[in-house]
Formats: sequence, structure tokens, C-alpha cells
Amino acid sequence: MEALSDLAGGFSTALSPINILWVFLGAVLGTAVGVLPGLGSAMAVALLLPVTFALDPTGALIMFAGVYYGGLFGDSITGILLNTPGNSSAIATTIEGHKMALDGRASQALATSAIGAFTGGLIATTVVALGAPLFASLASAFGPAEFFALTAFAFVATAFVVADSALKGLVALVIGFTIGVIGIDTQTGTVRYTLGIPQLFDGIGVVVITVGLLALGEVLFVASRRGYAGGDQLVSVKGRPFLSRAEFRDALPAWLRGTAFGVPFGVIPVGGSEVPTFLSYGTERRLDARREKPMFGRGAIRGVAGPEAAGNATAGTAMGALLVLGLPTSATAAVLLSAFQQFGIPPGPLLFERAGGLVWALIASLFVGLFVLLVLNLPFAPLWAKLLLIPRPYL
Amino acid sequence: MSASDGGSHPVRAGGPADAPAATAADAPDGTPADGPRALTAPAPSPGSFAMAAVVTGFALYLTYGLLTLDAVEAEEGPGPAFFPTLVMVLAWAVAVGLVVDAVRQRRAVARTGAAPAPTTGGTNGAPLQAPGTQEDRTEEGAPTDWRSAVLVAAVFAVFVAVLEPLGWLLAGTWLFWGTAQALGSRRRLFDLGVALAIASIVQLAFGAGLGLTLPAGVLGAF
Amino acid sequence: MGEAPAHPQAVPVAGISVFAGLGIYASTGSTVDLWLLLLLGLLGFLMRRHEVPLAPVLIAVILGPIAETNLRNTLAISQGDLGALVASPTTVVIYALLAVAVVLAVVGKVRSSRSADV
Repeated sequence: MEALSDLAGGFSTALSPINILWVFLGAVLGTAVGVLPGLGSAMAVALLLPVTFALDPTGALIMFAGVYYGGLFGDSITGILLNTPGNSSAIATTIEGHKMALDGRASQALATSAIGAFTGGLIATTVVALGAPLFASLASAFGPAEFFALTAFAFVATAFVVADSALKGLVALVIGFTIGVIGIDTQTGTVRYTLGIPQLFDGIGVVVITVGLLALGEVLFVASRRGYAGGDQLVSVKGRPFLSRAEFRDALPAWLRGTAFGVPFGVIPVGGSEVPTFLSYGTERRLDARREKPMFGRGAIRGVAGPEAAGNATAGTAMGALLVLGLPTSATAAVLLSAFQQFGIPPGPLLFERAGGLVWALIASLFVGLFVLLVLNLPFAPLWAKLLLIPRPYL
Repeated sequence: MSASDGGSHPVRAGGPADAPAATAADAPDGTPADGPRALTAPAPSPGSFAMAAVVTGFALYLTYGLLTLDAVEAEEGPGPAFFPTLVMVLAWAVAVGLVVDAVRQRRAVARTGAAPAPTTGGTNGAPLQAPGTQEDRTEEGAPTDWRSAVLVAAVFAVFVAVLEPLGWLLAGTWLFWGTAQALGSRRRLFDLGVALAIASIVQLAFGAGLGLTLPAGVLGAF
Repeated sequence: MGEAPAHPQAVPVAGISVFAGLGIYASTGSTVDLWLLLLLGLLGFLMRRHEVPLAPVLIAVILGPIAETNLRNTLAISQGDLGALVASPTTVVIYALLAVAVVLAVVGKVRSSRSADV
């Protein structure tokens, strides 16, 4: 199969020492930022984005992928240990995960979460790798009308279907459209909406928007919440994060079911990235109630395994949708899209033709990134927990 | 962090009871009442006039830009004014919608003395929600500390103003120190030391490491 | 200066501000961008406070120009015929999926608001 040989080529690029370094660095930074209380994967992406620009395109994008997945995992760590998920997609994991932690099984919860994230991401990325050439050939017949339909889909999906209120979603769209319109119109050379400020001729950079809205906006918001005490006590992690064979067998079906929920939602984000995690949670809970010894409510492994796999599977296919279709279905995906554009390589069906090597290298790095994260997080989970421990008295 | 794909969702904290069985306090899909919580309390009830004002501002900006557009018409198809016009129409529609909604909220509050289910929300404001919906209200909703937020913004503004004349080291130090102080940190000198250290490390790292230059400003003479 | 206790996250907030300001200035070298950063920060703050989702903003900023280009090209090629937007089976499929997603979301919302009222 041609895809396999392309993928192999991708791996040879991805496994070059420098690129492994970038993935590693990205994963570490992403997890670190995601783990710090008060921050989450969105903030990690926003803050580390300018840094990635200092690198070459391949390295930058590879590092970004590491940051993204790392941040997602950091979200779960804070959820399990602090009862404060760093991201809405980590909420479902936190419900049972924190209970497990309170029960003294924090390291098992972390291990389950790490393996679940790995499984979900791995299967989703495999689906993407296998399906990519197929989609790319389908999509190479796309003309402007089809691309417009895709963008319309993205708008409606994120504004109406993801947000709670259609009106608020529209507000966000309006704000975004307006900002996007600023600058020189490429087709006619007309200057639009710059108020005579020359620096605005090229429009407002996406990095500025991302860091401004997400990072600085959050900073001001947190500043305004001064009266809020926040935070439960931190649960310390004892013991090595290994699962016994019985626990492993217990979690396995949940991991697979969770992945099944997550994969389709990366492409069609009905309700957002949290929905598959809650679907998984609900399913695991109902299945659990039928067993002789229901575990939910007291820290059920399946309550962590399922949602975590679902969340990462969604992230995986969302990445895939971005690479293959050029269709961002989340803020982080949109930011990644702009990073591609910055380097002059817009993702989408044409990308395969023009820069197929890069895409396969990216897909390969996603795989590498997942492995790196697994390696980082399984043995080092207690270490991340210490990170939470240190700043707390200082805070 | 409330971007719908990322960010801790404002989820209520539960009461002291920890019943594993589904109680009446549980959310509709069965997630337990003492679920995860956010690090920051959720915002006060939505539907105020502030957002309406913001969107109106955007709509005005769009309109103004259209009126002063010095358009170079395209050879074929719609010109540079086409899309902005669409956006402008949408902006006005949304602005009107927000105003209507805000007025409705105010009237309902005045009538019943309590905030009703906001029409802009999908679910009502009952505190026992499934986590993941935006309409959460906790019992302890923290009021907005405008002073802290404004101070932080002001500190940042000063930072931007002095960055080029005074250089990164001084400006960066100010940024860290000023922000920490604005948020009430008591350790004035210690923070100053930390700020200086961080600014210096960053200067060295970025200068030497990534080859990006930061302004030297006043200290550049050394 | 009141007797209010220090903000529990004073230090990380300060750190993030520094990191943000630094990151932007180092990558663009422009003070104008820093002012924009501040303005956008204020906007982001308001949006967070009033629970307006942030994700659609980024998607609109990035995809908006792309949407515009494709829309104008479609209409240019078809000489203003709006039907060109739904001419091919692919577009029909995409719009159909879109409709399905919206319906699912609306149904889900109606259902959850009903059960919450119970």
C-alpha cells in the first residue's frame, strides 16, 4: 500500500534526532503548562505558539503537535489530582479520576489516563493515516464552492453547535470576521479597515489574536476573580503508576469504547470536544451499574479509561481533519492552521500533492509524540504531581 | 479558559454529601453532584448590555469602514465590499438581538426579583448542571474585582509604553513586579528580585538561544 | 491599599503576562502589536466574563478570509449565479451534514433543558 511507504518516509523524517527533540520538548512544555493550576491546554498552545515560530516549519509544527497532546494530558493530571480539569474535555475524566485519587489510587488513575490517552490518540491517528490518501484524492476535486461549503460548516459547527447559545456563538463569529477583514484585500489590492495605520495593512496576526484573547484575556479574567479562594487540597501520589493485570483488563474495553466514541467527533464536532467524553462516561456508568460490584462513585477505572480515550481520539481525528481537509474544528486547530499558513503551506487536499512529505512527517510525529507522552507520563506521573506541590504554598 | 475547545469549564462544586447513588442533586445525565470545579468562579449572569455595546461598536466600525472604503473594483465577481457588507449586516442583527435579550433580562429581573432562564442559554440556571454547560451558577459566585483587572491592564500598558525607551530588562521587570503587586502580593522586595531574575534570564535565553533581539534601551550603553 | 488578601494566583498571572508580552514582541518586534495585544486582552476578558465562546473567534479570523476568497471566486466563475454554491454533490453533502449537526444540537439542548426543569 502506498500509504504505508509514505508513512515510512514520514517516520524517517520524524525520527531524525532534531525532530525528536522538538516533539519531546513540545510534549514536556505542553504537559508542564497544562499541569500548572489555572492553566490548561489552550493556554499552553497560546503561549508556546510564538516560540514555535522561531523554528523551521517542520520542527515548529512537530513541536506544536507535542505541545497540544502534552497540554491535553496536563489537563487530566490537574483534574485527577486537584479536581480542577484544565480543559472541558477533561471534566468527565475528573469525575471518577479524582475519586480514585482520594481513595489513594492516584497513580493508577494517572496510569489509566495516560494509557487511555495513548490508545485513543493512536487509533485515531491510525485511522487518519489510513484514510488520508483516500480523503485527499476525494478532496482534490474540490473547487471554490466546495471549500466555501467546508468553511460554512466550520462556522456553523463551532458557533452554533458547540456553544451553548446561538446568539453568543454569532457574537464570536462577528468579532472574528471583523478582525479577519482588516487588511489589504488580496484580490483587488484595496485597503480595508486599517484606520490609516500601516502596520495593519497585513491584518492582525493570528499569534497576537491568540495570545491576546486567550492568554491575556484569561490573565485579566483571573485577576478579576480575586475573591475566589479556589482549589481543593492536592492529593499526593503514592506508589508507582502501574496497573495490575486485573486493572488493565478492566480498563481495556473502556479504552476501546471510548475511542469509538471519540473518533467521529473530531470531524463533526457536535457539541464540542466534551461530548464524546460525556457519552463515554455515561455509557461506562450504565454498563458498570449492571455488574455485581458497581464501582462508579467510588473511583472506577473505567470512568477514567473511557472518557480519556474518547477525548484524545477526538483530538486525533480533529488533527487529521485539519491536515487532510484543512478544516479546523476547534480553536487550537484554527491556530495550527494559521501556523501552516504562516509557513506558506496551507493544509488541505492540495497539501498532499504539494508537500506530501511534510504531511506524512507530521502524521508520523503525531505517533512519535504519543509514544513520547506515554513514556513521559507513565513513570513520571508522580513527578508532575510534585510540580503541583511546589508552587502551591508560594501561590 | 472557556474557549469551547479548551479551558476549564465553570462547573459547580458539590456539597459535602458524597452519595455514589444518583440523587436528586445529580445532573440529568447522571454525573454526580460533587463533580469537578473550576479554578475560577464562573462569571455573573449573562445578558447584560456590555456585550451588546461591544458588538454595536463592531457594527459601527464595519459600517464606517464600508463608507470610507476606497474600493478598487474586481474584474469579475463581487468586489472588496461584498464580504464586509455581509458581516456588517450580521453584526447589526446580532447587536439588535443582544439588546433585545438584555432588555428582556432586565425586565424579568425587575418583575420577579430573580434572574430567569436566559433566553441566550440552552439550559436554565439551576445550579445542579451537568458539567460542560455554560449556564452554571455556583452559590458562591465571586463578584468581579474590577480594580485588580484594571490595574493589571494598566501595568501592561505602562510596560508597552516604556519597552522601547527603557529596554527589556527594566520593562520586563516592571511588568512582573507591577502585576504581582497589583494583585496584592506583599513581598515587595522579593518579587522585585524575582522579576529582575526572570527578565534577565529571558533576555539571555532569547538573545543567545534563539537569536531574537530584545531592545536594550537605556541599559544598552553597557 | 485595603486589607484584602493577595490574589492566590498573583505570581503565575504575572509570569504569564511577562511570557505573553515577551513572546509577542520577540516574534514580531512591533509595539503596535503589543497595544493590539492589550486591546484584545480586554476584549477577551469581556468575552470570558459574559460567557461568549472564544473558539469561533479564532476560526472566523482564520477561515473568514478563506471563505471570502472562495465565495467570491465561486460567484465570479458563475457570473453571479448563487446556485453555483450548491451545484455539486459534494457541497450538497456538506450542507446536509451541517443541517444534521444543527438538528442534533438543537434536539440535545431542548432535551436537556426539559429534564433540568423537571
